[in-house]
Amino acid sequence: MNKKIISLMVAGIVTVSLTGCTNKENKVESNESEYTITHELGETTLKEEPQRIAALEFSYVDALVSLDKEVVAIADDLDKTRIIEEVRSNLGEYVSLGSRRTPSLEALMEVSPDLIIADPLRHKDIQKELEQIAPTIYIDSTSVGYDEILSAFEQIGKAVGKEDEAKKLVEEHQNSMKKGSTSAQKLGTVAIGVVQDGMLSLQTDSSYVMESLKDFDITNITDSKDSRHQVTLEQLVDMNPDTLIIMTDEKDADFKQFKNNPLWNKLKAIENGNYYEVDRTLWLFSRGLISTEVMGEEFEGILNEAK
Amino acid sequence: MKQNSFRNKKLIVGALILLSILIIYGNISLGNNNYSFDQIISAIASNDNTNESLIINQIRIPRAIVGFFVGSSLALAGLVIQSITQNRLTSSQILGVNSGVTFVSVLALIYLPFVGYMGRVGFGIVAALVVVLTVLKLSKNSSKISVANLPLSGLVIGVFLTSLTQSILLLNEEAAETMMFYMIGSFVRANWESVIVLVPVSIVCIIMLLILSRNLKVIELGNDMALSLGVNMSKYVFIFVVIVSLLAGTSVSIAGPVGFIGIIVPNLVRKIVSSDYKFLIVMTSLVGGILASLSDLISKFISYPYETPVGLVISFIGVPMFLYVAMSERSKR
Repeated sequence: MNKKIISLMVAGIVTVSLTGCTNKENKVESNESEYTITHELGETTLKEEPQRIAALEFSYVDALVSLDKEVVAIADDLDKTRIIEEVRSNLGEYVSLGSRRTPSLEALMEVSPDLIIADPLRHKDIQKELEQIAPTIYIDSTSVGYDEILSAFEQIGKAVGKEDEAKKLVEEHQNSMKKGSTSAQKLGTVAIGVVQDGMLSLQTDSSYVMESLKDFDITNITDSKDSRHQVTLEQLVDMNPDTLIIMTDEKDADFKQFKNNPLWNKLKAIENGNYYEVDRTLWLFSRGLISTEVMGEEFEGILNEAK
Repeated sequence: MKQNSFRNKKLIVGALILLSILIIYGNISLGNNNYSFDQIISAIASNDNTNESLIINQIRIPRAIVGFFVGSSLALAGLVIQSITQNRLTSSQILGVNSGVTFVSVLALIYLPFVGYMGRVGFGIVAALVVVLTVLKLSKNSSKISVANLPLSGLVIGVFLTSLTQSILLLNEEAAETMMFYMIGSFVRANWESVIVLVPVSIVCIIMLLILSRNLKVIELGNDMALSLGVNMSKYVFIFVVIVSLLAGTSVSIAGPVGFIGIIVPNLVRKIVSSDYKFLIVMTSLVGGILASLSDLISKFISYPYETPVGLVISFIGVPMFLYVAMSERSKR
């Protein structure tokens, strides 16, 4: 119930902020080299195309790498491996700003960036402090769906002076996600989920994962309208999906315990070998163009492998 | 009512045991699917590989047992801690035990995933003992444990450990999501491994408390009374504190820091029982178990088919009860 209330609140905030966006419409006023970006928490004027950018959330890093911009500082929760290999390998040296929730302002000041990209939900409280360090734009990345991430990408493109390239990249990305000509219908009913709190959190049709894979025409086992649907092992056995994809990694102690139950082996997907484990950092937390494409490729791999 | 005759006590205990069995049965029977009495019995008897048998034997029964014994253990831990601190408004949380166990569980789940479930429970018990011994050391006045310093030192240690837990969760936001139910208190993770640890620990502690019930009573009467009766207070305080850490350590590492039971149940039971500590101990353990089991049953249906953390349900029931107890204590004065 707690999670439902939180997700309702978050959904409310997102709706309000999105309505705000459409009303204002992102505009770029090219006044010689100076231009203004309208974002979720107001307007920010940039004197020239930024070269040293600080990212306070992972999805911005993915976007900046796609746009071939230098990222000088990242709030990476003190763990570089939280950035997927495909993005990390294209990153230069950067300064870690600590936790995403409370990035170190001192470290940020030391790297003297010329643009900061922050999250309106997480970093609203430090808006003043951030603006004293460098011009800051606020782009929602933590509680939004696939389409919002694509428009956020274009918005970042505008801010770093690569508006046209960003549009082109989004188009290319959308095409690459369509390349799945093989329909996922052959998988039967599909459950994609992550084990949290001793339960399986299923990705619903409004989740980022399912939205980005929508062209594959997946028959989702859950028809819940929430962004995720948490089920106990007992409920999962009742649903009994044909194919099961678990987002996990070797550190996932919760999942190890979940599948330790003898009931796990009674699942149709396990008995028939239609069960796959995928990396949860990539599938669940990354939310960028690069990571989503890798995810799409992995899903295609699953399709090809499936009996 | 307070001058319970032996027969009355037997009747009350019998009625509570019957109620406990009924609620535990309800927990096994009701849920995503409802199972009849015959289905449950045949599942237990056959113990075969059908879904029904596995759900009943591997999920419903362990969860029902864990729910009851966690409630029972936390209520008893609360009773003991209230007696030794001579303060009716305290619980194992005050000794910092719950915070210590939560910290170690979160630490193990995130940074030491290889230790497994039993490992985490083991860590929890050790953490509870370490916290208690530290708190005891800190509250020693010359060579004696100062009853007044005990809750104070516990509070300080508890706050320190809670901030450590929060700093781990701050750097592991995604992991924080996976601990949300645990941090409020939940029986979803219960399995036979938890039963194997929890039930023997609870039973041994109840037996020890029954044997030592006279000493608990004397300690609650205070230092002077204990001295005049020739009871070595420090020695018994130490034993009781170890019992508290065993009870709370296992419960919290299995179900999370389920709040309020430790504080409400003993106070509620004391409204009926006054001087007979053996009766008080038995009643507290039964009522604690009943409250937790009933809350778990309710938690399955509050936002069906979603689970609700049982800690939340207990808080909803617990807050009004706690206020009632606190108000009636005040009006007595």
